[in-house]
Amino acid sequence: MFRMNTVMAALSSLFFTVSLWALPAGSEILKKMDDMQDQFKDITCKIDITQQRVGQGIKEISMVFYRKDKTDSILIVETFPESEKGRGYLRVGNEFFLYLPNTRTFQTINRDETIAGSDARMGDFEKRKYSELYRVDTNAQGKEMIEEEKLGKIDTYKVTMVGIVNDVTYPKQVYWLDKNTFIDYKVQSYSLSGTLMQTAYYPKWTQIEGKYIWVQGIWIDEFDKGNKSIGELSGISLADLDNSIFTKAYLENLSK
Amino acid sequence: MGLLIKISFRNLLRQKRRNFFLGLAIAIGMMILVATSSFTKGLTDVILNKWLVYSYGHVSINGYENGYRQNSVIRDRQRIISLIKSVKGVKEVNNYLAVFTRVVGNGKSTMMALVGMPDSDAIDYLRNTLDKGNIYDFTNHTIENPVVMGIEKAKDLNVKVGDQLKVRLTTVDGQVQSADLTLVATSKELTGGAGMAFYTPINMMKILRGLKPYESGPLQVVLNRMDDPQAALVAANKIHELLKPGLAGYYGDFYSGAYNVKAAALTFYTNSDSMDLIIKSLPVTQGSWAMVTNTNSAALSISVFEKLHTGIGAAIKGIYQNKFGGSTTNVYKIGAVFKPGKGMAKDLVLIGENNFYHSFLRNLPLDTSHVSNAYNSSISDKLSAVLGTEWKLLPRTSTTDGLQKKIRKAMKEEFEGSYYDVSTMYEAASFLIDMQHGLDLISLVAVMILFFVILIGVLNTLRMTIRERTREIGTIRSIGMQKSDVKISFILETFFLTMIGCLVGIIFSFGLILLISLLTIDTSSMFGMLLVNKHLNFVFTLGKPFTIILLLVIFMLEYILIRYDEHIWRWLVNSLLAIFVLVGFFLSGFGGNGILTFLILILNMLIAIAYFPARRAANLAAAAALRQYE
Repeated sequence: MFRMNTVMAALSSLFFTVSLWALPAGSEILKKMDDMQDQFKDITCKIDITQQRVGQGIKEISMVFYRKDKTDSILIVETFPESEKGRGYLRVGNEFFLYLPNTRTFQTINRDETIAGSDARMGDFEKRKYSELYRVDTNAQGKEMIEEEKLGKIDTYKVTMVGIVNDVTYPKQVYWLDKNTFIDYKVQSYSLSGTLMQTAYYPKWTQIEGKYIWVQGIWIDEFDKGNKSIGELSGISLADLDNSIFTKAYLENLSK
Repeated sequence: MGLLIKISFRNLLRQKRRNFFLGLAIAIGMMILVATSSFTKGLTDVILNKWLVYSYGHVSINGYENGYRQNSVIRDRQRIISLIKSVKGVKEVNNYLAVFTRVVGNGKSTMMALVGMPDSDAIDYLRNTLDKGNIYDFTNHTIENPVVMGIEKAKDLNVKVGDQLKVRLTTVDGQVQSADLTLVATSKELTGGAGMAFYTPINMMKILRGLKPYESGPLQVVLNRMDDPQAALVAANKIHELLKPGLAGYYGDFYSGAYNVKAAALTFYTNSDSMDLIIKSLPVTQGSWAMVTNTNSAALSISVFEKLHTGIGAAIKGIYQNKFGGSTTNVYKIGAVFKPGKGMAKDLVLIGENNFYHSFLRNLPLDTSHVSNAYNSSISDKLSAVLGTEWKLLPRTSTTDGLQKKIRKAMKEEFEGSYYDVSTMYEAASFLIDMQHGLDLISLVAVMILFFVILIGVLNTLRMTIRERTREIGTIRSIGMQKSDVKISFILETFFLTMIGCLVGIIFSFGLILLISLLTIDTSSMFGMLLVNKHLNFVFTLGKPFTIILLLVIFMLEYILIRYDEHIWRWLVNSLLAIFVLVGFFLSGFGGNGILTFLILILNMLIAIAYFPARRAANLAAAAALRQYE
């Protein structure tokens, strides 16, 4: 539901100008998406997620997110609910740790570990190029599936992409990309058998240092109807992060 | 000896009431010992031959890829099964497939484990536990994606037989998969913790998990029925030896424009240590090894490069026949031209692991003989450590902790291929084995405390008997009976009493167990998992032949010691008897206990105890004994 690849791609959106009357080629779109992903080096932000699940009511989760590309490091620290405060997820290269503040212990986890009870997994944070994972799908006539479509009042390109490797989470995704900025306002994700599993909306965006970053994301579970999550980013900073943040000691100190 | 036996029997019958109650105490002790031992053996049998076989197998083989421990996949199932089946004691090899799924019913959803079940198992299982539905709907393949679940979970999901369910799961490659399933039957037995699982035919499960017909999930090895968990270790070590991987690579045609050449392609590890060795050992004439690690790049031997009439940076195609049909085409950019090292084939292509394993694992090559000949490590094994193998075989470990550590370590490595691991139920379910050992030991110690009380009774009875028969001893000694015969007659008396008591106890235990076995226990708790068809499970064993022989040898040594004790220091006799009893106890406790081992152990113990009053009686002076008055 809360896919961090998408989040990071969205976080790294930049302004791109394209001609309004010609459809861009699939390879061009993928390259732009890759370029956008590469814009970010370091980022810090607060993420508030409101999760609504049928029969389980509403759950609110808050966390602080740190990422440093140079060392391939990520740190996520839960700040709410109180019972989970201080719980941390640390990734440094290929090593993944879960910190439990109650027992002050670290557990080695793997890519399958979910984050803060959401559907996001540690493995979702891996930075991989769109062009190495997907291609733009073609229709029966062999034409790339890129169309112009109005999404509300916004002019978008609707782009259907299919996985070119076996290990992408969703083998098929449909993106609604702003025709001017190439930011993705809507993403639909399909399972291997072709069932629509999730629709993500990114209705609100902000610009920091000339880079587009979404500030609100809505993930609707199309498989288990009635479930949805709303994520809001705040306190976004693109300042360089110190290596000492991505250490066990830093996590331990936070909960002292 | 015949006379001594006759005297001993006569003496036993002289004190009928006292000996009856003493014999009864021994019988009850033996009955409890046999019953508890059979019960713990029954538990062991359920744990080892039912639980573990079903959940983990006695030995399990996993193939981990992409750092995902949950997605174990064996790419060439038949090849690995053939290797496993060559190991002595292997009964069968099962393909185990299970995955956690989100299941959506009628307005309700939950997390459950979807388990693939072979048709034959399904029929056997459902025949005994069917609640509603038709068992053959599960196996006749007319209904798409049939599933069976417990009645409680069906109720939770608000579904009944014939209703549709939706599941979300992941394939072995980590892709999101979804499917519509049909509930064809509900089971009465899938309750409590077991109700978390629901079942679909294994072939359906393979499709859902994205496995090809020749691939499988973890392989579970079931050994011939066993009562000794150690057998699994022996089998696992043997399987581990057989799973030694060969070089990874393929033999095919390489094309550049109008030119082509047949060559073997091998892979190499790209970590810094391996790269250092490659750079030192295989000098390049053009390009660089760093360029070879770029996406879709390869290094060509001088011979291949010349035959293809191509240049650095140019694209070439490598095509090979797949083992399971079709062919695979890979396109590479030429990153370097190298001079093959000692033991290497002249026509060779080297590909970094980052550009190799993903395609290789999913398209295994048909021809492997040319690959194994492409590098002869007996000529030079300098590069053995850096040339990639079909898989990396993880070392054997013996504990759960060891298993976890080695897998964690492996998952951290930047290896693009597959890790194979052989584990036994010791690592996978060590808590169950520990529980079984604990139960065995507790029951043995408890019953031995009971026997200690009985021993005191025997000792006391013998002392009273000797006191009562002091004048009689004086008489028989006066008419010429030897000291040792007096001693042996008392010991024989104890021997017969114990033997009769034990045999009666064994018969009692059969009756007791039969009675308990008739009880039907209908429970949905975890305890229900220890039952067999709602009844407690008892298993009788005689004991291991080797243990029985050792105990008999100890028994003979004990007899010889007692018979000829006058020639040996008393302290030595006493010490040796204590040692014999202790050794006997440990042999029975840890060397495979059973009815015969218990019988010999108790005879050993009681004879050792009877020896002391018997020796005292034998050492009485005839004249002094005759003068004795009560």
